[in-house]
Order: sequence, then C-alpha cells, then structure tokens
Amino acid sequence: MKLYNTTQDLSAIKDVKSYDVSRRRFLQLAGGIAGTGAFLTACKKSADNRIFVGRGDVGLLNFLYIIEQLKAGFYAQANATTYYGLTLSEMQLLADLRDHDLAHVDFLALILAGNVIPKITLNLSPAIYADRTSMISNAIILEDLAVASYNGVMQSFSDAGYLPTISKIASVEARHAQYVRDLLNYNSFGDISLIDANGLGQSLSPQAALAIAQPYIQTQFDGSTLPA
Amino acid sequence: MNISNIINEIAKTDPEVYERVSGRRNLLKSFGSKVAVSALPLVLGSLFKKAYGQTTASASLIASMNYALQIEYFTYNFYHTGNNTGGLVSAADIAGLQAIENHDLGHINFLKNLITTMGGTPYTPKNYIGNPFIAAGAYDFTKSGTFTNVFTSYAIYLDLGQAFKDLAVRAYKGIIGSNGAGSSFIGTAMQIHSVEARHAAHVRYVRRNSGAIDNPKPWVSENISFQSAPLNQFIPFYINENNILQGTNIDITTLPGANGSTISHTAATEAFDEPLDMTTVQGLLSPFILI
Repeated sequence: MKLYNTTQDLSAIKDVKSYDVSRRRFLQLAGGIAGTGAFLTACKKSADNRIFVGRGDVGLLNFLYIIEQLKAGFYAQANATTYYGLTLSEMQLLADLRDHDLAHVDFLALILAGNVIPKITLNLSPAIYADRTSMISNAIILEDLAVASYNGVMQSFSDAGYLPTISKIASVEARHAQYVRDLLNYNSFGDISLIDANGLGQSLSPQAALAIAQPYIQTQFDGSTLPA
Repeated sequence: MNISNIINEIAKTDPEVYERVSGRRNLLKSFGSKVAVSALPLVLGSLFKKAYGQTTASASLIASMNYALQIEYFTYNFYHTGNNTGGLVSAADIAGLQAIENHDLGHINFLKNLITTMGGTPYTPKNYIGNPFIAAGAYDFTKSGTFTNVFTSYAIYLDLGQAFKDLAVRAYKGIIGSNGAGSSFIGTAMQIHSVEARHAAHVRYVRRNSGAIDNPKPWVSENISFQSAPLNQFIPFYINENNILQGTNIDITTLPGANGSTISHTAATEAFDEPLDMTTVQGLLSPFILI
C-alpha cells in the first residue's frame, strides 16, 4: 500500500501533542461534561491484554469501528466544549459530524454483531477543544486518516456484500474531510499532500492507519491479522 | 526484452505495481534475464493475474473503467470550460475549482493508461479533437437550451457543478459495488471516489457560502435537489439518497444519537451516500452529451 506522507502526518500529531502544556485547561473544560466521561476513563490494560481485532472481514470491520469510535468521541468532545467564535453554520455542521460518526459506530457494531470488539478508550488530549485552530487541525488529521483508511481497506474484503455498504460511508468521510479542511484553510480540500498527480486520494493499509490513530487511543490493539 | 523494463513502464502508470506484485519481486529477481522470451507472456500473465485480479482484464472490468473515464471527461470538460470563461468564477474560488479540473485531468490520464495496460481500448468522447482532452464539440452543458446561462451565471454554473459531482460520487459507488471482492481496481476506484466526494462537498460548500437558497451542507441531506424550474430537472440525480435501510436492512433512523437521543432522520440520511447504476447515470448525463 501507499504510505504517502506518513512521516509528515506523524510529525503533525507530535506538534499538536506539544499542546499538552494546556492539558490542565483541557481537563478543566472536559471535567464537567457528562457523557464524555466514558471516553476518558483510564485504561489499565497491559500490553499482553491488547484487544484482538479479529481475522478476515471481521478484523477489517473492527478496524473501521475503531476509526469511527475515535472520530465520534473526538466530535462528542468538540461539541460539548465548542471553540470560541463558533458561527451558527459551524455549530450545525459540527453537530452533523458527530451525529454521522455516531451512526457509523453503531451501524458497524450492528453489522459485526457478536464479533464486535469492546468499546475503546480514547486519549482526547492531543486537541485543545476551545481553540479553533487546534480543534480543526486535529479534525483534519482524523478525517484524512479515515478517508485513507476506507480507501485502503476495501480491496481486502473477501465478502463482496460489504463493498456497497462500506463505500456509502467512505464518501461521507471524504465530505467531512473537505469540510474541516476548507473550514481552516479555504480551497485546501484537495491538498497536494493528499492527492497525487493522478488525482488519486491517499490510501493507507489498516496497520499503517492504526499506527497513526494510536496517539488518540489509550486502548492497545493486536492488529497483526490486519493487512500491512 | 527485459521484464524489469516492462514493470518500469507499468510503474509510470501505476506506481503501486511493485506493491501489487510484492510477493513476486524475489521471483522476478531469481528469473532475472534468464527467462526465455517465449516464456515471458506466461510469466507476465501469471504475475498480473495475481496483481490485478485477471490476466487481461475482463470485458466487464474494462467497461467499468471506461465508464469511469466517460464521467471524468464529462466533468473535466465542464470545469475546464468554466475555469476558462472570463468573469465567471470568483477570484476567491478559482484555486479550488482549478484543483477540481486538475484532479479530473489526472483521472483521465490515469484511467486511459490503466485501460491500455490492461488490454482495453480507452473511451474517447465524440467529436474529440485531442487537444489535451478538450472536446468542445462533445457536450451541450446547456441541455438543449434549458440552461443557456450555465457559463454566464456563476450561481447556475455552481448548481450544475454540484449535481454533476454528486452524481460522479454515486457512479463510482456503483462501480465499487459491482466488480466483486478482491479486484485491485476497487482500491483505485476508492481513491478516485474519495477525491470526487471531496469535490462534490467543496462545490456544495462554495454554494452554501454564497447564499444559495437551499443552503446546502457539504453532505447530501435526504434526497434534496433544486426545487425551482428548470433546476428541478436534477431531482432524479438525488433519487433514493434518503434511503434509511442500510446493510442487512438496518433502519438507520433508529440508531442512537448524541446525548441519549435518537439520530435525526436527516442526519441519518446524510451519514450514508447512495450508489447509482451505470444505466441510470448514463441516462441522466445523455441530454448533456452530443451525439
């Protein structure tokens, strides 16, 4: 699989992590918010207690379930502690982002039925939610990651029945990515770092995508069965 | 004759070719230049059968790629014409709309080369004059005079631009869902599909910011199209976008929403885009294509 700009993406995550000096402020903001507590619960799982994502199509769906939980949790926080200067339009669309991703989470759980992994525990501290630039910058990382994840996972499904359904979600993720990108930097929806000279959007293997997602997730995974 | 040269040529078209054949690189090395020329077709055939899912692509896969190419020519010519019509596009928006044109040009080049590599004949528009992919005589974006102001009214131009891009997203979804599991074109089609969705969302966002009466979101709400004549002719472009039964007939309007509620009907329909089949898409575009 292509690994465009993985290094760049990782360094971007490191940059936002350096906002950790404001972690106290984040915790203050997040502290009083009911409903997001579950995402902040400390995870005590040890390395050998990693969650196994499963094999074959189950593993792929659980991988997407992880990505969607990450975004849904991120937007739950972003909506609960909105940034300063939020416009009415932004308030509407930010709620949509949360609601769409929540729907994806619950839909994937229903599809997975008995094979679904437990709810994961997030690390939401890379973003400062009250700061517009910080929140949207992190949203861009997560949306671009989601788009590349869907692009990269699709060819590995062995049951063709998943293809129509998963592609219905994939394009909505791309619409999300456009929005958060244009919101921070108008006309950057198709940045050259994401789309190559052939006009092909970034694609990541599930293992590569999971590695990029990991700084936002406390839960550790055994994704060794996922395509590398 | 050298296998490496052949692979290198393919790599110019498809940079992923090495990854597709990754397990076989050592095989190639071990063959080196010792493979008898007479055995080459067999070796290569087997290699690409593994890499691309077929020896030479099946007629239906080539047809899918050519259908994609047909859509790319269509949208490329639409945006190319708009971007080159003086005074049409606002200065603030030109960079974004030029990016759309350039991506679509990339798609044309990529698909043309891929189809050729796979043993097919790339589609060319009627009245194609080969002046890099401009086919001014191939399209009638006014739809026989219905939209005479398509390249003079920026609002109308964006309306059509949105409808065409939303339709392209639906078309790629149809391709992705209809070519079976495991075909490597699925990955490529997904990559193009994601770019088409970024385009569609961007044009919707430009319209939202410009005060369009339907105040569109970057995502498709329900099956909402343009309401006033003649733009209501685009209603069929959005048919079934309000579908609420997904996967194994799961009613997505019953899914939990934020803060203990149930998701709104509109948000549920926005969370899932819908495919359209090739016959329907081509039928919708045909009034804009000269024959």
